[in-house]
Amino acid sequence: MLRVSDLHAKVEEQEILKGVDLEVKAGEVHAVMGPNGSGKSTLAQVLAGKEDYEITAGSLELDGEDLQEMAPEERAHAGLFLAFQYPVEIPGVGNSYFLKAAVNANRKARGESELDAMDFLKLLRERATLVDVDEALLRRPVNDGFSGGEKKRNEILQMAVLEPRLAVLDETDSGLDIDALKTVAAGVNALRAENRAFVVITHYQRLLNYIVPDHVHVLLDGRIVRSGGSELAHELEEKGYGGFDGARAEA
Amino acid sequence: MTTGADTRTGPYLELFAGRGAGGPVGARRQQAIERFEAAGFPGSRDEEWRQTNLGPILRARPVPASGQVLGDGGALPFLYPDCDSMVFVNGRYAPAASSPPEGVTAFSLADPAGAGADLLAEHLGASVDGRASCSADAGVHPFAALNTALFEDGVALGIPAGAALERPIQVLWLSAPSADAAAAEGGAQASIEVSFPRLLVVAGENSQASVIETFAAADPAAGGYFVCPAAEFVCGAGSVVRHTRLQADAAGAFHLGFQHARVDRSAAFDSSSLAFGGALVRNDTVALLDGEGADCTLDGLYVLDGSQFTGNHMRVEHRQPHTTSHQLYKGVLDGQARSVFNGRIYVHQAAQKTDAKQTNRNLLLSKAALANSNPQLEIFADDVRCTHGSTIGRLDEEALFYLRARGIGFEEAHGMLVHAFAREVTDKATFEPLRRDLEARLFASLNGVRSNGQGG
Amino acid sequence: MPTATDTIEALTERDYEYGFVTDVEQDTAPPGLSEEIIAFISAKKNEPQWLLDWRLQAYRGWLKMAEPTWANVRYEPVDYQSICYYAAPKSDDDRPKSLDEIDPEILATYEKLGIPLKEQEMLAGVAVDAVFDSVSVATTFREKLAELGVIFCSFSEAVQDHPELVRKYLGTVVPRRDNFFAALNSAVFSDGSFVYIPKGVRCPMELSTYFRINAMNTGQFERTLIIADEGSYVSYLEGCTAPMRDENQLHAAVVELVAHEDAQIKYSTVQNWYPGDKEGVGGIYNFVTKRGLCEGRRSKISWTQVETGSAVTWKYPSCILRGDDSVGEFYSVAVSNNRQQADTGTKMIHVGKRTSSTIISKGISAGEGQNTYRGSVRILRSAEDARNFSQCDSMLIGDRCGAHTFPYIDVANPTAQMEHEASTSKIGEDQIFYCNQRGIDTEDAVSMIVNGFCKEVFRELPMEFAVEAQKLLEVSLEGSVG
Repeated sequence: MLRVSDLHAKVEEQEILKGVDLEVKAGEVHAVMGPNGSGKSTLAQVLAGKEDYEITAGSLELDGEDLQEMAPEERAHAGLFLAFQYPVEIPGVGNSYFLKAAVNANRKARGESELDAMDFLKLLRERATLVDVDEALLRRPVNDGFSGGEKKRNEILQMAVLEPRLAVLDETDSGLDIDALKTVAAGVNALRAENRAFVVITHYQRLLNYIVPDHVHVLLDGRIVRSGGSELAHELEEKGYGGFDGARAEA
Repeated sequence: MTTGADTRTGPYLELFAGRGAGGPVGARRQQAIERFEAAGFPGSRDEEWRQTNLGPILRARPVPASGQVLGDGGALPFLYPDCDSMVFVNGRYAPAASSPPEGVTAFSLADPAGAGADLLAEHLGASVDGRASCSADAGVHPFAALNTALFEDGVALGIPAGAALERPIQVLWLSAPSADAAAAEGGAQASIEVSFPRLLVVAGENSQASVIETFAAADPAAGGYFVCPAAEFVCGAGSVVRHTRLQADAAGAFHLGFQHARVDRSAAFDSSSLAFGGALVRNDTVALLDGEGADCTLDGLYVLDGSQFTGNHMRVEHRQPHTTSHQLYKGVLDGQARSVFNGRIYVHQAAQKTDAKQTNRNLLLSKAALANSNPQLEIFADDVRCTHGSTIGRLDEEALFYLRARGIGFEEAHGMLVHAFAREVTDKATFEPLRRDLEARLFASLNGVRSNGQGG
Repeated sequence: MPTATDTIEALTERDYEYGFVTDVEQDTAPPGLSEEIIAFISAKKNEPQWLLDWRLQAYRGWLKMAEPTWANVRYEPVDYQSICYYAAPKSDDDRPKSLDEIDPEILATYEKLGIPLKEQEMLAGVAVDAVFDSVSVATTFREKLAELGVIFCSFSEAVQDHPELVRKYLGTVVPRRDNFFAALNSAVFSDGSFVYIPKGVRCPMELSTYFRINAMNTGQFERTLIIADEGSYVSYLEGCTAPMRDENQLHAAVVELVAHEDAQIKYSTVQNWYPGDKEGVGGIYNFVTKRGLCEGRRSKISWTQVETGSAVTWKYPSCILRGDDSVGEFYSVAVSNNRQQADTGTKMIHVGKRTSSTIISKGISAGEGQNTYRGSVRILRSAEDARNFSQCDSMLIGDRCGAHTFPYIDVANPTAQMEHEASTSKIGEDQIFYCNQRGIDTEDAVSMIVNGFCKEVFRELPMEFAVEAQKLLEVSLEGSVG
């Protein structure tokens, strides 16, 4: 589904990604772990098409199509979803209005008919229940005045409504207490499906107790220095990232 | 600011002289008392203090709270089930009444040993008395400085990196003033028993913990005593720290509290302050969002009656990008009660993408009650979102009428609406025994009943 | 007993009776301002003596006043002696002959706003021989109003036809020496609108200057007076979304509203005067005094404004809530792009019991625009149980613009219930990227964000006006994002 090959990217003349390879198949959950400044968030932003980053080498493909040729909204239409590390507030624009605009923009782009208000509301309520989001949140403006935890949950709700093919979760766990973490994880697990893949980006292993990944990758200084199964996350938790310096030298 | 020559500072300096500056934080104590001496007690021109009448406290001669030990089970009514606990009576640790948590570093400050001494040396007072005080401009918070100089005991909690505590830790600060103090009031100069509770919480990277502080009097009818607590929270990267501060002192008590949190990268500090008791109460909070993505939630509720005064003075500093802060403070005032909310949000130039929200809502139930609300925004970054809102108002007559039109009596309708107003804050408590206790206290306060012990 | 000062003042103000002779034949007064010029204007308009007296007193007051400097705007000083204070309406010979002579940039804006060709010609001041459709529309319109007893005419006509009403109300809300610009206007006002709604009449249509014949050339010192008698209702629309160009750089209008018991006045403005070029050259200075008096019990005055034009705007539509239970409202969207500067807001003065006011202000700054909200809420001692809700939101587009908020709250009665909310946010790449990532393209995203921001104000505008205002905003901000 997603194929990232030898990806190099820079921002303001500073190279952040120095040759990332990543292959994600439908139905899989991949975790990308790394310390601050390793390039985790850059990878997420580059996948979604943020213009601040310049790709200097390598390729990005989603279902065989070159992502670099696509605008951010076209990537969304193709089924790529990014749960933002720092979700953005849009004052005055109702959360459900925003989601309806998004759902219908995606449907239109895919040649499907737009949902009317009733059908959309039904879908929204159903998904809100699935990810345990209070209805009051739907009536408020997008992320405006939301607490840190509410913003993260709202990202998961949007994911549940937009039903992406590939969802990238960028540090969705940060700042969440255990209860909120479980809710978010339950939402993600409920959406796991054979035709859908997840890339879960995190600093800490705790989230992976609840979303058990098929593959774990360690990102250090712009490169994936080691890949393995879910046991790798536990190893990381014990040893810390320092223990992988040697691996980087080999890579 | 008044000068050190102020005679009111004298008795406090004497207390220090009698105690000395030993122990792992001796140098900090010495520094704190010097700062306090230089600054003196705040005068009427100090913006952060001019609305707080310190007269009743400063006119009395401070004497250390008695070492009286509470009888067996004296603390029990205040302790929650399913909770680890550390109990302090008149500012001193009562090990018999406590069941300290395991798996964390938890010790009485009076008896630090080994790793504990290091923790203290590194963190205790490191930020409280310095640049970030609640006083007008990064000056000295006189009462926080006094606490550092004079605390006898307290608790330090070190949460190891990666640990997620399942049970909350309750710290109970119980005041049991001796009868002598009250009796002395007829003399030339009344004396007042003073204690300086001290709390330090150091949350390691990616750790999670919940700390509940309860301030209460063994006898709710106890006379004037003075509690001068200070709490420090050092929230390491990725940590989630929840803090509840329940202030249920005796009706005649003075309480000047200070708390300080430093929140590191991607960490979250979530604090609730609930004030029911005391005659003259201050609750000053400083939160420094010191790492990218740091988040803090500061909620508060004050329910006042008679001639109670409560001041909440907040200072939230956004120092790094993508930091968020949410404040919701609500007050219910009856009788001739007075409240002050001073909320300052300071957004440093580096703190782009800051999202700060501050709300203060006051409900006045009588004509003589008075609420002051002063939101202050100082923004030096251009890409931020800051909102503040404040209301001072009475019960919605239309809602009241609506309920009555549905057959609900005036008293009950009134109670329902006030309750609904206050519950927005108490409902945020996720620990069930705590939530039930808050609910009961709220009910008792709103119905003019002074409750003692935990309600559930 | 009149005091000595009163007497002296009365004597000095009578000077003109003997002073000078005016040449009424002239079409245009020479530049400059003097008592002669004012007498000339008054004579040209065939005004009664009392009105001339009134103008002269305003002028004498103005001479002693200083131009205000407290507003957060900067502009080249105005030379009041170089302005020409009276000019007869232009003859067709002086006007552009066709749209070909009009600035193509203005025409492009007309196109974007979807304004029909005929209207474009009218707006651009092209001399057209054919009778407009709108003129005939306006005529039937006036007949219908006359049946209900509604008076809707130019201010000059009102002075001739309804002098008792003009005399009774003129200057009662904005005293002639209220402020520097109001005093100047009072001395030299050219023309404007006059509306009177009789008791119990609900005006069946929106009154719009657009439909008032001859309204296009009211000049730079416009004077408007609207009176809603007991139990009446009127909705008045001022301006239009098409950009207005004027050779006169300084505009100092005065609007006075009076609402009697149970009366309601809704005053909506869409102001899109020429803001100057990208460097701010040639734009209009708009210094307006707008004030409404809720005289009677349960009366209501509501101001709604969408301000996208002018180089410098100085404007505070206000309400004096004198009647018990009266209501004042202010809804505003102010846009400042490029070098535009806007210092705008409102004053709500609560005098009566249980009076309530609502203020919703949305400031949008783009380019190097500077937007200031300046609002004052005063609860006087007499205003038992007064309520106010204020919300001031600022949006920044780009990083060279500025937003400033100065709320002044002055409460002298402790029963007052006050609510205040304020926010500042930035529409930037982040918001747009966020929308993009959810599948929404940039154009829709900007429109969604801006309209979401202004929602509370747009919904106060009459329906068709709201749609135009939305479009206008998009045009005004075009190119400032992304």
